[in-house]
Amino acid sequence: METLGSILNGFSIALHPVNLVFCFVGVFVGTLIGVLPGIGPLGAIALLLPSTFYISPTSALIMLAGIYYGAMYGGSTTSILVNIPGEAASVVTCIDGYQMAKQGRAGPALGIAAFGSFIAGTISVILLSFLAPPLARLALRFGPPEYFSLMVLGLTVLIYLANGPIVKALMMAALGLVLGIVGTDLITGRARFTFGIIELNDGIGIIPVVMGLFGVSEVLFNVEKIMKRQVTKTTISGLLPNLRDWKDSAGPIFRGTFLGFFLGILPGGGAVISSFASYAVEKKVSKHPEKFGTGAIEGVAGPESANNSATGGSFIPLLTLGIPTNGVMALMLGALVLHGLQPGPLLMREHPEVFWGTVTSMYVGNVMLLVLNLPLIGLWVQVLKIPYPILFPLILLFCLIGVFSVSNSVIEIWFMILFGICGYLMKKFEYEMAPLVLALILGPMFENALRQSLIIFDGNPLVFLTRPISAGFLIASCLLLLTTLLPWMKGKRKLLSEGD
Amino acid sequence: MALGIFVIGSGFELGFGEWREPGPGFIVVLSGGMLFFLSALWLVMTLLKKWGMEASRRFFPESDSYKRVLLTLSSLLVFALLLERVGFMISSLVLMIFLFRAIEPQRWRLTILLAVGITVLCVMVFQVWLRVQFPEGPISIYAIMKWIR
Repeated sequence: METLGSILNGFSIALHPVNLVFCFVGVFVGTLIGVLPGIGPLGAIALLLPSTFYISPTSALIMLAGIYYGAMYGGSTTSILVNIPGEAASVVTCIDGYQMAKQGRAGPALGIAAFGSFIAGTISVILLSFLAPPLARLALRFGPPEYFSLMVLGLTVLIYLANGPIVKALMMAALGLVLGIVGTDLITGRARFTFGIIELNDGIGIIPVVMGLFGVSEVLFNVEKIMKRQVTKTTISGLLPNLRDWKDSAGPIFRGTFLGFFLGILPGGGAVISSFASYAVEKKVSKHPEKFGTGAIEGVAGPESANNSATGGSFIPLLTLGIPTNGVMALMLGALVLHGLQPGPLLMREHPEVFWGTVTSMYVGNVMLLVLNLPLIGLWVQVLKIPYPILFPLILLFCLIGVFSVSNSVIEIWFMILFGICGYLMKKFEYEMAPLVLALILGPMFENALRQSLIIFDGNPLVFLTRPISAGFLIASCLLLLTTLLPWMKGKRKLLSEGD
Repeated sequence: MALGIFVIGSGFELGFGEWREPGPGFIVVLSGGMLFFLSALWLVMTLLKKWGMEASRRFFPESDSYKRVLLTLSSLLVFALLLERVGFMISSLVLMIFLFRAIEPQRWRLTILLAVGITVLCVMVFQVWLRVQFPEGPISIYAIMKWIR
């Protein structure tokens, strides 16, 4: 009852004309950057983050959240029509979506992606509304050992789901932890690995790292070859899927929604992983797995629902525990901190307008996206026709502006270039970037939780195993890592990475 | 592996502390150790795997790929060098013209049109509207706006 009252209050905030405008700007920009390959939601949020200085924290979060879930909608268009993912969470949609477009079924593919996203987005927001309050209450009982073990679990999940050898993924996580150490030690005030550079006292910024690893490296990788993008020549008519399409897609949409939501909650989970996991699950449960890869609508409906649902899920750890689960959430945390708000279990109690305003704006945003996506598909197709040689200078300029605008420092641009080179080499030598980024984000919190636990419990490392919640997280992490050694599990991991 | 050794060494220098009171180098040593151990393990695994295998595949897909990558990278470096000296407007104009011409050459007319259009749009949106504090350089947008008024 209390939650229902809060939801109604949230709607009164989300439906305020100013917030409606910011919600629209968010979902429109999100869809646009989702459609355009090369600049993901993270880049767009980094670009717009400084502009949120001048607006209320609620409006800021509403707009930034809109970019995130809007990008998930937009990403499918590029995957289906051009066979290039607009953003990472739509990689798997290329497989069957593009095949459908080649068979003249681009309309139903785009339609089911939009409807699936809408259904999943809405269900995930409902789940978020009802799960967040009890989780926040539970989180109040978390001490440093629980936080430490939860972060270990998050990193383990990401490592487990990474493509390729587990040793390489672990190596990247260790490197991320090392990078996370850079800066002033919060307990003793000693500078670590700053090499006399003042800008490094606050640590390595997440924005130059992510823009470099994902933005610049992607461009460097793409300019190696002359890229000819071919928008599939098909008349996009009949966006409404037929009865048969709905029958085939209903199961994948609902499975994708719940899978995506729960993977989104886990630190290290999120939209990208849930879309791959959903594809693997659909292929596994299908009576005709051989149809996957040849234009099966289930291969579009499941992953597109999962990646939208995961966006809702990933807000839970941020808003209830104060833990960002991915780069986008780290920027959201940054936006909240910029406005003097501390995300965590007390946010809901102390600033209900921010929490419930943002959550309910996602309902509103999902409706806007459905209205925006289907009639405006022609506009997005035109956007897609911009050739890559004209697009990539723009992407680079946006990365440069985004990095500079957050810190007003040229040194951050140098860091971005450095990480761009690193990301390019990592792509070449097939190293996963996601464990590095998550370890970098969680690094400082991870260290604090570990050191505080040891200080509070008199240096007893067994404290992580004697407290039940913490022990549960650690046991789950160990089991997950151990399963990678079993031969049949190796096969499942391979299946998860098949779509890449 | 070398990075791992460096990190471990720096961690001990910073002060490992003890289990009851971990120092600033505590996590440094642990993560450096992890990095060293995993790198060593991967090296052994790779050596064992590569034994008797064919030569690895080519690094660049086309003969002139490296040129494109180097040109793109150097354009970013030049932008970073120019930004504080000549300001945002000129450096972004130079960057756009260079990228439109050097990687996959566009016609001059289109290059100029796009470079000027994008630069003006970015200056208006980011510098004027969103108030990002870019270095001004010799040509100040605020001076231009004042002159127009």
